Amino acid sequence: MDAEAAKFFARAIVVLAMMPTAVAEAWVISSAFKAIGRNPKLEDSLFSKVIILVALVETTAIYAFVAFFTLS
Amino acid sequence: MEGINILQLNTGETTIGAAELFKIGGITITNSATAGIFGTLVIFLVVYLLNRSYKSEGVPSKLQLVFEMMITGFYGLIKSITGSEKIARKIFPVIGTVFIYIAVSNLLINIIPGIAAINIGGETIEGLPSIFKTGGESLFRTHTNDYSVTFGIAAAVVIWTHIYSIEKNNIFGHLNKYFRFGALYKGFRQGIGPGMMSIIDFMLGLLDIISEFAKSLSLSIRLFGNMFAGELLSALLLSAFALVAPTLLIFMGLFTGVIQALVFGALTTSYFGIALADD
Repeated sequence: MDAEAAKFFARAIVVLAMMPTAVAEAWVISSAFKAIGRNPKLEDSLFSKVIILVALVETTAIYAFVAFFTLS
Repeated sequence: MEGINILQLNTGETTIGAAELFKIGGITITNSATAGIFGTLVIFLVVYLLNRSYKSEGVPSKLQLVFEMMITGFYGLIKSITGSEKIARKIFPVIGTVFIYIAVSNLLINIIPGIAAINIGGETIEGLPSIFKTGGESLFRTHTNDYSVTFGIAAAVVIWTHIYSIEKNNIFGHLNKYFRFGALYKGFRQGIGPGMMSIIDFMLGLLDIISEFAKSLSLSIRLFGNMFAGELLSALLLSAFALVAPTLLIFMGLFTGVIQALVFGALTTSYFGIALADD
């Protein structure tokens, strides 16, 4: 395998990191909705926390994104 | 001169590092540094306006009300994360300053229209004022879209948590968080079983040293990555379809700018909370 092909494979592997991130984000949001469903009073206090947590979970995808473009 | 293709705009290459503009006595000024200086000036201006019309009695001005609302909200967030009024009062000035600085740096280029088109070098465009050029280096680049900036802020904040921890527990108490010889001694005095457990505790203390470095790395890469991704996506969209689609992305950019500043603030709050917690 020459260097150029190896680079393409590396980028393909890096993109895989985005897949579990999507699942994890959905998980966070669905858990939040379940909690609100059980106790609707929580909605106000949960909203800001969920946004911060989603941004935290998203970090992995952002790392992958940066790595993807630094590999070119 | 060929006309500008309004459907597809080439904004030039998006690079990872900031571009060097000029040198002042051996100090390199990059385009992200100019944006930082500009942002600081904007903050100074707003603070000056706020200070001039400040009233502690009677009817406050609208500007003062907006800022008081923001500050109370942010203070409430810090209090809910640390769970202690005393710690929140101590660290609020630090984290508030970092939050405002990062939020202004994130949003500045997005909010002021045309500011990203001010270039140094390159050719002038017909029909536009001569400061707008194509090609050359942009005078302003989003301040946090430069890894040295975000790493500088993150490292400074993490070192600050260590200073507060030393101030609270003195230097030996602080070192005892990482080199747990005290726990080792106590464990082996109780017997061989608790002694073995204390060895594990000691190793965990050594691992905490690595996690201190990881803290500043993850904080800085998170902020830089988000800002870089935003800029790259807008460049991609502008080169594909320049009429409507980038508008949505600018709103998205405003949103992520504030959210990332908030995440940075919340995480540093929790780090300060850990450093200042009572045992």
